[in-house]
This record gives sequence, structure tokens and C-alpha cells, in this order.
Amino acid sequence: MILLVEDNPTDVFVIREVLKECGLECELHVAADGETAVEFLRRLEADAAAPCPAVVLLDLNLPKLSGLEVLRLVRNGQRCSGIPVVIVTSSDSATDLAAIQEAGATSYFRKPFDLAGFLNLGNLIRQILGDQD
Amino acid sequence: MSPMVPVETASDNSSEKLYRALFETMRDGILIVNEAGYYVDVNQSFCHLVKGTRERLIGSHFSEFIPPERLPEAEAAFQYLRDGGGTGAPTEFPLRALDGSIVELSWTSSATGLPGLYYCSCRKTADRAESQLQSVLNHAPAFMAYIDTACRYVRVNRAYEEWFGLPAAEIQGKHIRDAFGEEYFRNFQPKLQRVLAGEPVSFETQAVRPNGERHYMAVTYTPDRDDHGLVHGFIALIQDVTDKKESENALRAREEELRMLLAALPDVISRFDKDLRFIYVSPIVERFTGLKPGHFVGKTHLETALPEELARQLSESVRKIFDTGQPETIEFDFVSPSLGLRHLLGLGFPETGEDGEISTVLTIVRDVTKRKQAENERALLLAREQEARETAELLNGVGPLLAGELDLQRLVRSVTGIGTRLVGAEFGSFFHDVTNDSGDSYMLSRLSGVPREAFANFPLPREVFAPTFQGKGVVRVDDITQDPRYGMNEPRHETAEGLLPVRSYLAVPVLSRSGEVLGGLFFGCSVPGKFTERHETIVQGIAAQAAIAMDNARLFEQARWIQDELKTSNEELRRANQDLETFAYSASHDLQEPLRNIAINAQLLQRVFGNLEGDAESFLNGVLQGALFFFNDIGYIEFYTRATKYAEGPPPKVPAGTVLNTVLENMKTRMEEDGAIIEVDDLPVVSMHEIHLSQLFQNLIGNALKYRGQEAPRVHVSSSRQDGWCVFSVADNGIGIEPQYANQIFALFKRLHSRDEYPGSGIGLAICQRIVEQYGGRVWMEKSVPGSGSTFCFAVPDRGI
Repeated sequence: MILLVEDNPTDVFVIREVLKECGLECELHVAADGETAVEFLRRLEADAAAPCPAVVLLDLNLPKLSGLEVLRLVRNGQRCSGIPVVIVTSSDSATDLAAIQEAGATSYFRKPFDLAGFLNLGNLIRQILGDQD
Repeated sequence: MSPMVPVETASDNSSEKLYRALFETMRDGILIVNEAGYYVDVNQSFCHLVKGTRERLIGSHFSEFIPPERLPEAEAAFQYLRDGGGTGAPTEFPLRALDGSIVELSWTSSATGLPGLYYCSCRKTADRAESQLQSVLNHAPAFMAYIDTACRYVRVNRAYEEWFGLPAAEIQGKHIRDAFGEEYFRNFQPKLQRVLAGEPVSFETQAVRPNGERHYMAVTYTPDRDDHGLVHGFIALIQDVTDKKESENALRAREEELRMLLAALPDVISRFDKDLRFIYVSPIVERFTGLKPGHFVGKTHLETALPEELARQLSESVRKIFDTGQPETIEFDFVSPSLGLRHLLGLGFPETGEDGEISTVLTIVRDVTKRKQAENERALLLAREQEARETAELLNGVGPLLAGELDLQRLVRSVTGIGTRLVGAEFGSFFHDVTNDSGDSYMLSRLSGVPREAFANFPLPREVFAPTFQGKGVVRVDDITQDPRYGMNEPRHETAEGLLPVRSYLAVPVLSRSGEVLGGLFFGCSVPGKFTERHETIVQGIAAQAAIAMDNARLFEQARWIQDELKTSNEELRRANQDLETFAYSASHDLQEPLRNIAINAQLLQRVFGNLEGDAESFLNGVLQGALFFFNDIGYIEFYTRATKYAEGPPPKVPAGTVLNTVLENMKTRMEEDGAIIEVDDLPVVSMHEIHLSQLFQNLIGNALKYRGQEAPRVHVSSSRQDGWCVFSVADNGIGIEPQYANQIFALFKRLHSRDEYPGSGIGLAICQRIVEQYGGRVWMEKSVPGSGSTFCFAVPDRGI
């Protein structure tokens, strides 16, 4: 299962397409804002039987709780602290990059201006999952 | 044992009796001795002398009565007698009386005329006193005579005899007249009468010796009076005092010389006795005091007509010399009736008598008025010079004190305080020349020596102050209350209660370099005539220093204001820049997200609809293209702000050549592709942040490569120093620019060509302009010939490195 925290429906659509395109046919759980994502993570911590996502795709600019805060919660958790987190954002600001690295992001993907560019995200996820295996 | 000698008796009885009577009544002892030395006869007087009877003595040998030690002498005398020596001079030798006592006798002897018989007479040496007296008289160094009441010489001593060349025998018994003549006697008669009346007489006289020598004689007649006062005669004692007289005369002559010398001296010489009385004072004293020496002699200073205080001082000084035995010096002023004020110097020293005690004090008083005047003048000159030096030092000291003070209020306070102190004023103030609307008040800046309240509600004497505020130089008035300008102020005429009690007044304008009157320094004192020319000099000096310091302080205040303004402007600029950066950041991050959304959605639409036809296809492309350009431009804005971002801290010194090398190294690939040739001259070290300088080079050289012509690009980078600027120029052989665009090209996003012809952001030159402006420099197109290249220059301040 992959957890995608993303508020932009277009991006959710495109990422879903990319995963499909890249043969990553797993369950995609989407949280549309930071709070929802945190809710999901709490349940995960509370219920040991609940399955952990293989990777978290996290946007930074989120309603309610920012992606950075969500990332910190992931890293502070019991069960899911080791989950790979890919920050998927249109920001390339040095400040943001330094902050996510500090908070323990596994990787970073800058949202491209063209559709084709999104395919690289699929490759990145595959690589991360492959590393895990 | 005495042999009996037959005595021949006189044949005539009567003559025998006469002889016997005479013989026996003689007061002298008489004895007749025969040739053998035996006594033939002795008289009664002799018997008394040797305390024996006639019977006992006749027939005795003379040697029996002579002390053994004198015997040879007696025998020799007797022998002399026997040998017919005649009458001998009286001799003296003693006899030993029968009771053993020694009787001193003087003897005369002679032959009797009878054969074998010798006559000796003797008398007690008690009568010898007479001869001793004569001896004393004879040896006395004076001429002595005893003259009886009848003016007859009774006795004279040998000296008398010798001196007058008259033997005693000749003179004795003679009347003076008979001895020396009538004239001589008459000369002395009055004196003779006096002494014979019982009065001792002394006199001096001159006498001419028989050899013609003139002598001085000191004569004393002493009457010889018996116990009843009856005069029997007189003793004349005459001394030859010629030598003494001569030395006395010589002494007197020397004394006279000295006296004349003293009289000729300009100094007053005086001598004082132990009672501090004048013994002597030289006549010159009259010149000073108008009093003759006679006025002084015998008096102490205090008893003279000298001023009492001076007399006491001088007398005390003389006493001190007597007390200490040390010389004294005294200087004093004396108002002479004829000479006016004189400065006198007195020297006194002790004179010791023969006993080694100080007997007198000698003083010399000299008129040192001229010397004193010269001294005073010299002292005055020295004092003036010293004063001038002190003034200069004071003023020099004031300079740094004031120069360092840039706060105008504090400066005014310092100036007023220093001035007040230096001129010794009681009050000091500085007034600005500010006349208020009612026209009767100057703004009081600073008051020294009196609380500020003293001036509250008090109109200032503008008539008095006016010349100072008109910059008319120093005003110094000994008594301002006597000044015609004083009291001219309506309505109070400076008489109001509470007015500062100013008499001495000193004011000086403080003039700025431009001649503007900055204000006035005013000093006052409650006593008149307090301020001198020197104080004038001082206040002028202070005013000059104060003016400079005030000018400086004013400049400083202006500079500080400008600096404050600049600081504010800079702060505002920095904030504006920060805002711009923030905006650029937001733009690039927050605005590009919706644009990206548009682009992605447009692409999804293209995918959904497959190949659209005609207008729909080009509309959708337009959406996509527009979003893309917008997206890119937003990126450029961010780049622009980042490139031109203010660097923190002062710019370091960087060698422009090194910076350029790094830039060229980074552009190496591109230059090789273009076959570009770069020429670089020696470049200076400049004061810039490296990132900015490299951005300039990169953009200008980048443009030179981008806007190239047909030929391979050639770029020449050079520099020069002009009027405080470092000017860099980048010349190329590219397409050039039409002159009318020369100014437009530095505008943000300004492009002269389409993106298709020459890709690019249109921000390169704008970035360059923004960078050099940060350093106060500028960038411009030096020249451009379309088709054959352009030269771009930028100038930054030359720090002389």
C-alpha cells in the first residue's frame, strides 16, 4: 500500500496514472490534507494489525497541517518511523529542501510542468521499494 | 784695736773754740781721718749717725764701720782722696752703726789743707730723696721747672737745661724775664698770673729752638699749694708735641680729604653709636631730605624729621646690626621734597673698636631709583611676555577642549564656562542673536555664575548688546553703568530689581567662517575696571575657537541629521528589497503551483481529447504555452532578486582578474562551442562582493556570445581608472544595438528580439544595473555599431587598491 498525501486532485489523478503506468499496482490510500494523514497514521500506531504503507508520498503545501509536520509525526511514530517518505512538491526553495532533509525525508520529487516528467516519480518509487526488498 | 794717734791742737784757743762750735753744730756728720784711715775727730752729728760716743769713735779705723762687701769701694775712695784727688763727686755707701744697724749715707770728702788729715762729711740718705727726685726729674721726657711766686726758677731738670741750652746753675734763681727776655715773659704773664692764683693752666705753644727748629709744646702749669691752699710756686711741665702735632695735622688733613670725598659721594654715609644716634652723616643727606647733617647728628632716626614709619624701619635695621654683628641690607622708598619718589638701597655694617666690640655702625644709602625703574620695566616686560605666553597657552588649551565638543548645547556651556574662568568674570553668558516677535529679547543660551532664573522675564539690554550682535568687535567698558548706551531700554532702563550688578563689561561676537554672527559672549563683574586688554585678547581667542567649534558642531549636527536620514532611507530600501525578495519567493513558489496546474490539466485535456482539430488545438496550446512562459518568467524574477540580493557586510577586496578567470572557466564549454576568443587586460583589485562581480562579467560576456554575428565572437575585457572610478569595459564584435534602444535595454524583461530568435529572460542587463547601483556605480552602453559590435561599461568606486 502507498499513502499519498495530496490536496490537488489533478496531481492525485496523474500520480495514480503514473503508478499504473509503472506497474506499481498496489492499493493507494489518499489523504487530502495533513490532518487526515495524521489520523491515518494514529490508527496505524494504535492497531498493530493494520498494514503499514510501503511508501508515503507527501506534498508539502497542505491544508490544515503542513507536509513537514506530517513528516515529523511519521518519524516520531513507533511502527511507521522507518517508512520511506518521498516529498512530492512543486517547491524547489532551499529552505524547504533543508527542512525536509532535517526532518528525515527519504527522497524528494519536484512536480514537473509536463505530464511526461511525472513518470520519473514512478521510477523513484520503484527504486525505493526495490531497495527495501 | 786702734793705735793712738797724737792730735795736734790749735795754737790759738779762741779759734779752737770757734772751730769746735762750728764743728759740733754742723747737721752733717763730719769726721777727720788721718792718712792711715783712723778717725782723728768726729762731730756730734756723726756720733748720732753711728750711735757711738766721741771717745769711742776717735782712734777707730774707718774700715770698722763699713760693711765688708762695700769695703773695697770705700778703700778705693779713700785712696783717691789720699792721692790728692780733691773734692770727689758725692758717693754713697753705708756705715754699720755700733748697734749693728746699717745707715745709708752719702758722702763728700776733701783734703783739709792740713798735712795727713782728710775731711769727710756725710748725711743720711733720707736727704737723698732730694737727689732721687732730681734724678727722676732729669730722666723725665718732659721739660720741667719749679718756679716760685716771684717768677724765679727754683729748679729745672736736665731736659729743660738741654732744650733751652741753659745750664741749671745759670738759670736757677733767675727771673723768667731775665732768663728769656721781656717779650717771652709778657707772652706768658697772663698764664703765670692764673697759675699763681692757684688755677692749673694748660696750653699749647710754639717754640723756636736755638738751632731754629720750630716745635710744638704742650705746657701745663700746676700750682704748688700747701695744705692751707697757699701757693708757693708752680711746676711747669712742657712737652714737645711736635711729632704728635704733625701726625695730628696729617690725620686732620686726611680726615678733611675723607670728609670732602664723603661729601662728593652720591651716597649718604652715616655712622651710628650704640644708642642708634647719628655720629656722622654726609652732607649729601640734605639733597635727599632737605635737612642738613647737623639736623641728624646726635639724634636717633626717630628723633629726626624723617617719616615715622621709615625712621622706625631704619632705626630697627641699625639696631639689628648692633645685635647680630652682621651686615644688613634694606630697600625702601622715600619721598624726597626736591627729588620726588626715590628708591633707596641701604647697606649697613658693624665697625668694631679696639676691644673687639661693635662700637659703631656705618651705613651707606644709595639712590637706586633708576636701577629700580629699569628693573621694574624689565619685570613689566617679562610679566607682559609671560602674560602673552600664558594667554596663548590658555587659548591653545581651549582649542582642543572645544574642538572635541560636537554637541552644540554642551559646547556653548563649555565656551561660557571657560571664558568666565579665564577672564576672571563673575558672570558669563552666551546669547544667540534671536530676536523674538516682541523684539525685545535675545535667547539666552548659557549663563555662568548666576542661576538662569536671574534672567527670567527680564528684557536684555539690547542697546548694550547691539554692537556685539552686529559683529562689531570686542566691547570692553570699565563701568557699563556710566556708558551712554546703558539705561536706554524701555521701559525699565536697566534699573529693575534683580538686574545683575554688572559694572565691568566685556563682550565679543562669535562669528562663523561665513561671517555670520553666531552669537555673543558676554562677561560681567560687579567691580568696575576689572577687564584689561589681555582679557580682550583672551575673549577674542575664545570667540575664534568657539566659532570654529560651533561651525564644526553645526556641521556635525547637519551631518548627523543627514546620516540619520540616510540610515532611515537605507533601512527603508533594505525593507523594500526584502519585500521584493519575499514577493519574488512567493511568486516563484506560490504562483507557479497554479500555473503548473493549468499546464498539467491542459496536457491531460490534450490526452483525453486526443488530436484536436483546428482552433481548439491551437487554443489549448496557447493555454499551455502561456502558462509555461509565465512559469519561466516567475523563475527569472526569483533569479533576478537572488542575483541582485544585497550582500551582508562591507564588500571585501577582490582581484577582478581572478574573478573573471573563474567566470571564464565556467563558460569554457560554451566558448569552445562558439569558437569565441576572449582578450583580457590587467584588471585591478576592487571592493565588491565576488558574487556580484562575477554576475556582471557573466552577463556581459554571456550577451557578447549570445548576440554574435557571423564571425566567431571576439570579446575584449579591459579596465581603466578615471576620477575615482574603476571602469571595466566589455567590447564584442556582435550584432550591435540600434542607438535608440541604448537606454531601454537595461529595463527588466526588456527584449529587443523574440524568444525564438534569441532565447533568454531579458533580465541580464537589468541584473547588471541593479548590482552596480548597489555600489553607487553605473552601467552603460559605451558604443554600439549595429552589425559590428558593442561595448558595455560599468564603473564602481575606485578604492585606490
